[in-house]
Amino acid sequence: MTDHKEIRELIPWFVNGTLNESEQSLLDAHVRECDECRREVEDLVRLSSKFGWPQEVIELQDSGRAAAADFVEALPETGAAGARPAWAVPVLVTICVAVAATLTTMIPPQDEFRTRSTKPGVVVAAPVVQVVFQERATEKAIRETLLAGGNVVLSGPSTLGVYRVAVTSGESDAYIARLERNPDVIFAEEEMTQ
Amino acid sequence: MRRLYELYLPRLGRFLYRVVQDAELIQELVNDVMLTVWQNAGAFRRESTVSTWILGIAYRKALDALRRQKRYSTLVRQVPEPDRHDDDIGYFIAERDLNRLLVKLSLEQRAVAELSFDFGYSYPEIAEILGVPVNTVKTRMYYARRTMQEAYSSRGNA
Repeated sequence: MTDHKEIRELIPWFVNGTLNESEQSLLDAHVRECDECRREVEDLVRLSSKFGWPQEVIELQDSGRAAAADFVEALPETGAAGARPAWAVPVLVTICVAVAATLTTMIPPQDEFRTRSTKPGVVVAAPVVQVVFQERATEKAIRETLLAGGNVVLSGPSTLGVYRVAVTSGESDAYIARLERNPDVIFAEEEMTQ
Repeated sequence: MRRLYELYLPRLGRFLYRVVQDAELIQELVNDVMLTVWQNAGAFRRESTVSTWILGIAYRKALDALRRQKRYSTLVRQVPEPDRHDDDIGYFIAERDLNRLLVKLSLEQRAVAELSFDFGYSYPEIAEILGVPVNTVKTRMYYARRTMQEAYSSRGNA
């Protein structure tokens, strides 16, 4: 492989140092002789340096590790679904939500959630629970489960099947406990506020 | 399992943040990917490294979700054009400006750039994560570079 175009295609990985020995030697020699490719290397070195991460994410790594360490302490060595303790999924998702919530603070805020009947300027204050159902669950069963007790579905199903439900009684713990006893429900957990 | 969660949960979040850039979707995807990892960990055959396996799951779920929601146009709309004009591409591409350039790329191209420059993967490893031939990885990187350079050039000539 000595073609200039083919060599140039490898420059991104010359810059990140992951080429094999023969490719690395080839690039070393070529870049010394080719001004165009040398400029490309210089550009990509600068570009790649901008792919670093802000302090929030570095701190997130530490908090994520600590939370994950607590979670996995009691896990069995196999990840097979049958060996999963009953509490594992909610705890895992709580950790995931905590990590994701930190990440999402770095993205421009989205519109506040309102029901269709919510008046302008009024934000729903009730606790919000995220619910995911088994694929086998019928629409009727889902509707009856979510709306029990006068609760309001704020959104869903998302692309991943998540419903967000405002618990109008404020008793989210009792609502979640009922959901967890429902065989159609895979996951039910109160949404973290940011 | 302990090491897996310690190491890869934060990295998964970083990958999705750069590649997806959609707050609501990131939260859903982190949940969904880690559940999939947990449910399938017993079936993991070590034919690939753990990191490539997890990031591959994340990539495919992100791709599917964005394709279904057709959010590409939304991504571009969310990021306004920067005001600054500069002759030096390295200086121009500050963190926020980098994101503005990245949203001009397809998700597939962003994934290649992120896996190369932030995660430091080789192109064969990236091919494994994305489930595509190595030549496809090179092609995506080529067009990603060209798109970012054109975006920069059009600003410089404005």
